[in-house]
Amino acid sequence: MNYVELIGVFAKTGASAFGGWSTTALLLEKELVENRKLLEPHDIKGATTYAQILPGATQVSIVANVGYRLHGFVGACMATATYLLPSIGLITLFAIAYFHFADNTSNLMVHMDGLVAVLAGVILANAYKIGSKHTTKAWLWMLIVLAFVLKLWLGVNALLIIVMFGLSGLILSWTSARRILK
Amino acid sequence: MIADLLQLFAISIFISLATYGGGSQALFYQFGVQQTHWIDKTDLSAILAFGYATPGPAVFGTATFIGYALGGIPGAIVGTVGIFIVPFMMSIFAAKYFTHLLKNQHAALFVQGVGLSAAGLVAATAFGVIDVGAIAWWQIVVALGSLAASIKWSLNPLFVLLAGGIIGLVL
Repeated sequence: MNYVELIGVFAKTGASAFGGWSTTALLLEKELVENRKLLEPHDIKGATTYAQILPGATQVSIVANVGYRLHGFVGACMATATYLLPSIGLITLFAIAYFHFADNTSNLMVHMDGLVAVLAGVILANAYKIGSKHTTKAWLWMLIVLAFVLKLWLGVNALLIIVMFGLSGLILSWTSARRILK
Repeated sequence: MIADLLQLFAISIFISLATYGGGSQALFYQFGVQQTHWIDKTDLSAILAFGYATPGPAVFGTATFIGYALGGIPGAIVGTVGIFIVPFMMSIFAAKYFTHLLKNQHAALFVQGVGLSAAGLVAATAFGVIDVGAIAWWQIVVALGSLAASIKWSLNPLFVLLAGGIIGLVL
């Protein structure tokens, strides 16, 4: 695969990857494994698994990893830049329009109570999906509620909550008590 | 402005490092709205709504949006680079050197702990974007409908948001 093809594949993926990281993984598998036969299915699976244990945008971790497998460091840079271009380009255009017409946009948002209500529902659904992925036992939902209460009612710093929960998991992993999570 | 952009760069890196499989909305809310007041709740709602309707990792584009608010196009670039650079480098590093990390139980339980907290924090963000004190009965119905549609039928947020926008305009 030459660089022009690489740019084409990742720009196309970046422009059509609606609905989270799984869409990105599926699109790359179809394009690079099924259509072009440049990678094996386990390459995409490995990139996806890594992406989930690394911090940050899962999609970007997948794309950087796959780009690296195709063309080393340069491939990773080009793949990531071209993958991000459609979404970041759109957001920049949105930011320009939003802040340029700030007064009008604020007025419009006043009439957008419905949109804000839907957004709250979509964010809650997102929370449920993240929770479902990590709750290996039903009682772990109580820890999610604990994080919710700590942030919303007690105003604890979000970063502190994240570090506390992550370290608790890490400490448990060194003890026999880790079985309560499985 | 330079000081703000440097702070945004540092905060974006922090957010990217503290996000495992979701939860960045909560951190953008805390740092961008509550602590620095770079944007307000309305701005965050607007960019999150637009982000959900955009392909790719658009929620992370909130860093781009805040960067633009602070310093135009150069600011947008600072926010974007800050939010993506470290995970990008870690991903390459992991692909090259850490093949054993995939089966590491310590890493897995650390990620599980962070993931559980992220779920709670994201839920708290939902109550942050909506003005709970002044919420109308129909907004509660719409929010619950959107929650059910997103979970039960896995509808694309784009369609759910469009439907909500139209309902809001009609009511």
